[in-house]
Amino acid sequence: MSKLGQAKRIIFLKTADGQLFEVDEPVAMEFEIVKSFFDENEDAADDTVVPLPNVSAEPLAGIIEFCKAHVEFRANGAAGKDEVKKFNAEYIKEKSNEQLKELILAANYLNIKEMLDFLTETIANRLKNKSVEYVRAFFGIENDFTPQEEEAVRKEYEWAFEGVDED
Amino acid sequence: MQSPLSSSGRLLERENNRRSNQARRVHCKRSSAWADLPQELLEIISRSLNIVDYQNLGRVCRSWRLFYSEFKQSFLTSHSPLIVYASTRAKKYCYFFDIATRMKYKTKLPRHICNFKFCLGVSSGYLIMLCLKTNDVSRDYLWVINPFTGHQIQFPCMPWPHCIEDYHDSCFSRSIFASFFASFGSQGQDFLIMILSKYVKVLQFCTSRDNKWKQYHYYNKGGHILDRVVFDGRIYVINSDSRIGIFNLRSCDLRFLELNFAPRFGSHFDKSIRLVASNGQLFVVDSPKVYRIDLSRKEWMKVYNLGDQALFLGHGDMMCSKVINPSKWGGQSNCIYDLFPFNNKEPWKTITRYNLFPFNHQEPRETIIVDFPQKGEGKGYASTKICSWYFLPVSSSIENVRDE
Repeated sequence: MSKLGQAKRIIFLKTADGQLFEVDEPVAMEFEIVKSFFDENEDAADDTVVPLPNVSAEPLAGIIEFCKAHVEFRANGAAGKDEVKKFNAEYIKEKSNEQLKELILAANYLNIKEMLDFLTETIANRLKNKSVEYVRAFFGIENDFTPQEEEAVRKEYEWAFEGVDED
Repeated sequence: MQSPLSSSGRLLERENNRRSNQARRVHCKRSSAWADLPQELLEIISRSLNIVDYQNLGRVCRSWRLFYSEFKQSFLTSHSPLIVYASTRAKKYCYFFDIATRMKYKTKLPRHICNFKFCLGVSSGYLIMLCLKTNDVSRDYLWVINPFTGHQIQFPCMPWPHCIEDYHDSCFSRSIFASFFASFGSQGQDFLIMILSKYVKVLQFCTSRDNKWKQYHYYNKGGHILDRVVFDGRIYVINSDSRIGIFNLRSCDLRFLELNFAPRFGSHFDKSIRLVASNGQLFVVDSPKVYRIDLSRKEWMKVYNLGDQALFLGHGDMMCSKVINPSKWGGQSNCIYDLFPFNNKEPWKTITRYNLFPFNHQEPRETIIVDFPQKGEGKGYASTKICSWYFLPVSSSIENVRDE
């Protein structure tokens, strides 16, 4: 680990598309994959560049923004408060579906638990109480069932549970 | 800076390989479609979905369907048991209540069920319904349906009680103790239905193989049979003399086991003694007392602590009870969830509730009321009335009785 002790350490990350990111250590340590890399290579040089062959620059930038904010929230004792919810809501509002997908794949690869929980919950909310047609249109998923499969699925769902409206 | 990059790059690559290889492969394809979301992500996403949303997820596209099928069982086990319910006036729907989330579901019953029906019990995830044709008794039949999978099968009407048209529902249901449905034979290719009568010492059963009812009278075999359960491929029964026996279908014979330390049940005729089979163990419940039957040591053992398990105890004829681990959905362990569909003080109002009896008497008891849609008051004459625990994870695996 850093021989300078208290000095602010910078971690270098290199994305699949060749971009080099300089990230504050506490933020980079949110990425389980980076953390375990340094845990297992304690004598890695301070200027070691960690290659991230499965992540490109755009989602990584978004992830760093998210983790940075959350590291600060925790440092300020604001974790779990309205401030955080507000940030999360704003954060996701600006993201397109495509960006959201890139983010979740990257967060999964980097193994960032907090962010992954947040993103999967966001997606779950977009599935809850929605029709199949809505979900397909929303996520741009093609109906790729053959007519026979479609018929089998339809038959099976004649028995599907339905929600009950409270009246 | 170049040299540490190359060496650490290899190290990191090795680390990556150790991580979920499958997810990496999916990811490395650089697929750009939501349809190709790795299963491990779909699995996390589905944790906060309810059953309806989960079923819908399985209809979106092929790869999500594949996920749906592969993870269905683990999805279902992470949910609480349901209470299945149909009001006395219910024609079209039966309802389900998730006790953990208080979410309600319904499912349509097929139209072709005639107007005159009783539910005799819930068994192996199937509702056993007696369908009566008001104008033609010979066309009465038993209709067994799984409301979750839609699988259904018909049996001819059992020979006893006779003159069913003379009974009204409460009286009728009192003449039947227990009914159960199971698969039969090594491949599970045949189905079996068995009915215990309350007033007559007879076991009635019918297999889909012969489609004919057989009767076994046990006048000379001691007390009344109070309950039955399929355990380890055999049919176990318990009688009012607290004797446990195995009923062999092929030889049509009841053989009692010699077991030590059997307690005496009170002489009360209506006492609800339950046989419950779960997790490879056989229990006898004389609520709130629970016994475990140790077949290798040939003895009854009183259970003082259920550990991380909880007993879900059914009520009345609908008896459908299990011992399960409730921790996955945040339920209370080491207690009895006692389903009690009727209100003693106002029996005409069918208020469904269940009581929580902790084994540790220091902990408080609790009563939870479940409000189901009530269509009209429950003075129904000849109508469905279902109220039972419903265990989704086992609803598509029928208990099997070996043909031996």
